[in-house]
Amino acid sequence: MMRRSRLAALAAADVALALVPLGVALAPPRPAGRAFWVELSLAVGFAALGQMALQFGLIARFERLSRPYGIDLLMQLHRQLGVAAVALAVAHPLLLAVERPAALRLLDPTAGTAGSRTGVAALAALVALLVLSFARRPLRVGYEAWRLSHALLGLAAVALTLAHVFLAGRGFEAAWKRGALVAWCLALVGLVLFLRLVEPALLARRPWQVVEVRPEAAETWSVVLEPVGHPGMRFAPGQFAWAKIGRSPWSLDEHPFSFSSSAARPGRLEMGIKELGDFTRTVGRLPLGTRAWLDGPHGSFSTDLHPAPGYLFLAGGIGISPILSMLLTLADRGDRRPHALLYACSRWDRVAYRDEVEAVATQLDLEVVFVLEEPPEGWAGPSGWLTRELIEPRLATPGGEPRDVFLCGPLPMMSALEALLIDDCRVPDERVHRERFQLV
Amino acid sequence: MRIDRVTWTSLGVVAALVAVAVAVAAVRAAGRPSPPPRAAVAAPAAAPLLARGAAAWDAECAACHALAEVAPAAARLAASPGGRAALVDFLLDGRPRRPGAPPGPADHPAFAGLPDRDLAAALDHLLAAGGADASVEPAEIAARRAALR
Repeated sequence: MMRRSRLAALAAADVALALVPLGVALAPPRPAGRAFWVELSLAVGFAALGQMALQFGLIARFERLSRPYGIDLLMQLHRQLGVAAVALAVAHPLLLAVERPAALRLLDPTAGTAGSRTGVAALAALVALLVLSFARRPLRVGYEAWRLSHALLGLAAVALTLAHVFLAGRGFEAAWKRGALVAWCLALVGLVLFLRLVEPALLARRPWQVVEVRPEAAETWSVVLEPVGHPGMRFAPGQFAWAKIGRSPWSLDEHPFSFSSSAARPGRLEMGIKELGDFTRTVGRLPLGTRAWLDGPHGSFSTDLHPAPGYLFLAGGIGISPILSMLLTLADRGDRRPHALLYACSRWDRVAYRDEVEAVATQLDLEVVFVLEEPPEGWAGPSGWLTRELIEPRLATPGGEPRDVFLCGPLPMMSALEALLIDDCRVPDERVHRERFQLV
Repeated sequence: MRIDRVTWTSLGVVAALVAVAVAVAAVRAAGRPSPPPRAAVAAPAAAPLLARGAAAWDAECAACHALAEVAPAAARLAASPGGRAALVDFLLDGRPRRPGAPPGPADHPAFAGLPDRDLAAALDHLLAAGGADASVEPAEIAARRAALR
């Protein structure tokens, strides 16, 4: 996990950039001051615009951001700061109403001026965006449809807010101010346009093809990809890529899959994919030779990025996939450090990559413990879930040096183990590494 | 409920933004110009007109305008040559015009749909707050309405 100083730097950068619209508004020529609540309303509104536009930067998959911080952390920040941006935008008219109660009537889209109506429309876009993000499953909105609506509503919200500022606000009459604000918003929004238009054009030059689709246990498939006309992709073990399989490079139908193969062999990639959704349920039927495009590698969930005297891997279900990549890479590199793997599954016949895990354990100093919820008759190993009794003794190497912990599995398991490790076992946050993929 | 480090970071960002907004608002509000003195209370015969003016202002104008902010500028405009007619024209069709100059693009709601007496009352209320000579009559509104046709 992140050192405090690095997170603090990211927060400071976010605050500074989010205040750019307010700074432009305060630059001369500026109108005379007004009542406190009116000024607070305006300042909060500009902060909302700033935070809204910044979200495009957070999700643009900049490697300079995603490598040190991890896509998981950036997505979590995006969710939280996105909610904050909406809250600030909603606060804007409410604060104005403290000084001018009659201003609440402007929330009626049939009343008011063009300036107020664009503001109401921006608020509506933001609320719709929020509702669709948090209630996607109950509303039965498909993932691809949600992604498209999310992008369009976000763009609409920024554009309508800019129109609201120019039509209704004072302090942006000067042409240079309007130009500066538009340029700043375009720069951030442009990052996503780069992601959706330019990046796919670059990806199109590095195609992959499916050469093997191998069934594993528990509705899991290993999809093996080889590069077509290029040397492949170097990645750190544990990282992932956004894969477009059987789609165009410009398609929004892309999914994050972890590499399950060794990083020491970049010319032939394997991804472990569990049948969980509309696309993944079709993976088993992928024809050989299907074209694929990989946007990556991404993520900071990697032993390469967190040197330690040894590692404790806690895996549940398909969470074994990135961990297997790390183990295979360590083996290929002749690693001699003492490691441990606690692998939780429901049943013995549903342990994905069981043979691979047992084989790599013979090549490493690796203690492997399978923990089964429903053990078979005669099972001698631990049963139930991963508990403190199983984990705590393995937090240090046999020599007493503290291990870093890599945690990957179902979300409830990850949340419970995070709390156990950090709160109960007092493992420093910086030594617990995790990555969540259920983004919405 | 456990708050992880990322959530603390988000909370910190929001707190910082709100703190800056409050500070800016406080500084700006402290530096705002003082509102002009209100006009003297009218004679009892004019009281119903002023009461209707305050009501018309609250109903039609207060949503977007703070009286103390716009009244001084309106009073200065009304005191300038041709300014009073320009002000009435602006309220009628929402298009600003310097006295004698052609109208510009509409950037204000047009209130031509309001009765002359309500427009006159609201304008009375506005100019009185700005310390100007008030007494805008409905006939003045009607005359400008005819001129704009």
